[in-house]
Amino acid sequence: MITAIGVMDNEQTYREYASELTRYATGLVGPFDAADVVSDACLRAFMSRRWPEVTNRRAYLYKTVLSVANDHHRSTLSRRLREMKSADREATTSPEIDFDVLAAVERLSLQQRSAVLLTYWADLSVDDVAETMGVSTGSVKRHLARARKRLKEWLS
Amino acid sequence: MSDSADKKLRELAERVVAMSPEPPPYPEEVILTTPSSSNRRRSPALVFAGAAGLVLMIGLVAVFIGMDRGTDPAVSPTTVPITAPTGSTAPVPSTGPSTTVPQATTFETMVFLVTDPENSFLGNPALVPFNTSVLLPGTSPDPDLLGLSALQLLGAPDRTVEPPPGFYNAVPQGVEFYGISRRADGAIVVDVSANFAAGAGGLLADFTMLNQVVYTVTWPDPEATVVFAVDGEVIDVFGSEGLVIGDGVGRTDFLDHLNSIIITAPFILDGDELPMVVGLANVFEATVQMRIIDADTGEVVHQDFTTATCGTGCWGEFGFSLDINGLEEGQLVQVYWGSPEDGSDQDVVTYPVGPSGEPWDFFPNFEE
Repeated sequence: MITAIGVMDNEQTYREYASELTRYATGLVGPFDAADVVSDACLRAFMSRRWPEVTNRRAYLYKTVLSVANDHHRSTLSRRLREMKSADREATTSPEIDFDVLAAVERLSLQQRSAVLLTYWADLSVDDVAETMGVSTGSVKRHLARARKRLKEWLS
Repeated sequence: MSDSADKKLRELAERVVAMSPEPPPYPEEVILTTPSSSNRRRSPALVFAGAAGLVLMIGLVAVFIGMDRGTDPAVSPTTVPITAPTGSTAPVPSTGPSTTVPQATTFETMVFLVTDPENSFLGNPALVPFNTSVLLPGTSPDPDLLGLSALQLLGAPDRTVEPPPGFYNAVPQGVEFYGISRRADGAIVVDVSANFAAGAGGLLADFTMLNQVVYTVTWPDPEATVVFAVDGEVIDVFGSEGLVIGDGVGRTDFLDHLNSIIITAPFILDGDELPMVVGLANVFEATVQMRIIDADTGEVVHQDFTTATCGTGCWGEFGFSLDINGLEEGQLVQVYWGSPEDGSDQDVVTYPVGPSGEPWDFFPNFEE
């Protein structure tokens, strides 16, 4: 059944958050698959039975993006990187792709990426990061500590 | 965290986000689906309701058999019968003019069954509990008696009962559980038949049997240690490989011989409480994934993840409280973790969503 109920509302919500969700997804799965993850996440959220009752739609969409990214095979980013590195970079990549940064991000688990992004890019408090990720504040702190440890070389 | 590290992490976050592509176009058509009632499974409670009356009568007879066995020196006076679910308190019929008429009441109990997880990393089985009900004398049974009554479902002499599809009972045919008592140190002592000590035929099968039995009998007291005895003699050595169990077995003693995720509470739809997905996990970075799917269509109804209290080499507790619409009996809960190698679902434990407001009475072996 195709329905118009809520579509306009959803479209407005989508236009409001699509850009930041795509940036967030880029941090989670890389620039190659971010758009797909956002599309899937928004569709999943809009089709969710709970969606009409959601009060904090932004947080719900962020959580859904993380959930969809979780489904996304983590090997995808590393595979894409391997493929692009083995190809002619000058000919096949756009100048925006920063391989060093992607290689650094690859060292982090998805949860760690999310905690870093929400803390340092979205400027959320630990409590808000925990709520968005659906984990405890202790877990957020642990993810951040582990991320810092794993990125020790990059940070030095 | 130092300012320098903060600054670097902020820089990393901004640089990776700066690679963001344009957002995708808005999905024009949003298809709203509603659950198909035609595909909904028939309630197990309804399926078995017809059998309840028949098995109740058998159960009541078993009450008296169990009471009579109390005079047998090999049987504990606390032995309870294998019986059937009902929805109410019922008087036990008198067998003679001199017999006191006790009240028999239906109580909920919990039975752990075994299942083989999909895409298992170690090949170990998983435990999943199911709510079921038993008919016991009195109106407020000792919690240990509830644990024993669950064990007696696993060790039923006739074994005419069958677990739900996909699950099995690791307790071999012929093993029986006669009674239960508490030792001075608080350990639960379960009186078993002599063939219990032989195990289940193989090291993994022995571990599985022990885990299933210990989890089942300790559901009212998960911290308890369990000792097994034959005619009052504690069993020191168990199974074909000679596992030493004389000092007692607890829930955590043989955890590593189970799947990396086990479930510790049934998933029951109850109008008054939020359904929970609860268990123990020892998984990569403590991240436990959960989804609920329609058993017929495979459609994912709900999906979430959480972090166990410990992980990657240690066991932690996890729990999901599901405050969502659209949950219904017949759906399947899947709990798993994601491989760090390729993101694939690992050690997937699948179990069904229980019926609303009633115990899950699958044990009577009733066929339509």
